[in-house]
Amino acid sequence: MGYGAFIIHGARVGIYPPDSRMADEFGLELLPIITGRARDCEADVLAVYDEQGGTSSRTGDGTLHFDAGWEGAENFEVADGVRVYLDYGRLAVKISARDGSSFDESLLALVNLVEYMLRLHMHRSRPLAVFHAAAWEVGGAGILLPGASGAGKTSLSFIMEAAGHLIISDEDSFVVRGADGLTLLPYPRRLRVGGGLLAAYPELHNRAARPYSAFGGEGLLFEHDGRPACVAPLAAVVFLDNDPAHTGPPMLTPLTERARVLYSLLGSGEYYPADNAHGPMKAEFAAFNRALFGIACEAVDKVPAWRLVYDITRQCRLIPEVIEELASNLMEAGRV
Amino acid sequence: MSEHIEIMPRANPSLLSRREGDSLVLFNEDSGDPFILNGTGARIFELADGRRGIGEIAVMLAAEYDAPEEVLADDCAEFISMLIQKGLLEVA
Repeated sequence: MGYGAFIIHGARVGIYPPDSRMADEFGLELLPIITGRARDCEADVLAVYDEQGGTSSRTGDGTLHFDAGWEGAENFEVADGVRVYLDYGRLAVKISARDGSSFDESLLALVNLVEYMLRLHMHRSRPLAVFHAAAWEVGGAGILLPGASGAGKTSLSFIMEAAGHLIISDEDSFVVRGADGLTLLPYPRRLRVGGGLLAAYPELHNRAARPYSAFGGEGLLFEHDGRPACVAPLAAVVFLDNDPAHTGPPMLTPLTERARVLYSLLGSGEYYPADNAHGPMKAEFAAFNRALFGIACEAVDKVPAWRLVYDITRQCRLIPEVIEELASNLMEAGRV
Repeated sequence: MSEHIEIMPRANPSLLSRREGDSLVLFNEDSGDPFILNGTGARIFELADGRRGIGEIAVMLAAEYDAPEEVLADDCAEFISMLIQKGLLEVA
């Protein structure tokens, strides 16, 4: 027995036990088994699902000791019988669950924790900002679309993909400084869609890879893989505003008040709780948050911003045309 | 007889700031909270540098905005109190 690994943004993410559903969630191929002690393993980020409730680990041939090294890790109970361990020093996470706990929910939580640790790993090599936003590439233009839960980040991402555009992310978007300005990095996580959108947009059935029934729901799983080799230059920010009371066509309004744009962008930023951290992690979290501020300021300086208001239940089909026209205008203005 | 000690508020050192026109965008690098202050509010925050009392800040504002100092003093004190409550300013 050993553990599997993915390569995400150049980082080796070790996972134990290697599980095909984790591979499905990331949309990545699970790399061959690696052996070695987990605490000394080559993984940049390590994720462990311990189904024995933390009392022992199934180490197979005895060379893996996933229970070792967690003594100093921050830990807390997230559900009855389910405890999460966060070891920021070696960027390792563990979910320890008693028998009878939901494996699917724990696995989904583990995916999110991997992302949480991966951000820190990436930040250690270069400044990184993560926004709660979708990101699409349309005609060569990278568009960042911050939106609150329910704004339609995922739903609109499906529709944009169906219209032939590249989805860079449907939930968390990674932005770094590139040679020619800010760059959107794709986050490799599959798109999933459930009942509501399928009813409104039945054509999606034809584009789905297969049904899924895990992670607390049922629906369709798409082949979208956020191609790790593909990046897009940030050319515009579009704040998504799903307003059920909106009438008329989707409305795209330029935002010229830079302070308000910066404030909104910072509000959509993913940050680390430096005020609750101690020791070296407090400084590292603060540095991560400072990078968010710096990149948000740079975005306000360098790219234009809009607000897109729509009623997603009635107007989701109209969004691609609006965004395509925006991308075309960006191209004409020499911003792409 | 009670002795009046004037407080000299200053910015929370965890705040990053960015001026955009009349507005000031603040970001707490510890908590991740963003704030926005406009016009006079932004100016009051900037004047609160830890070396000025509220009275002096009101005098400077009155000069800059050509407004009666006695009217500004109360508003200024109330606003600074609110900024302290929100953790944007602190008192040494």
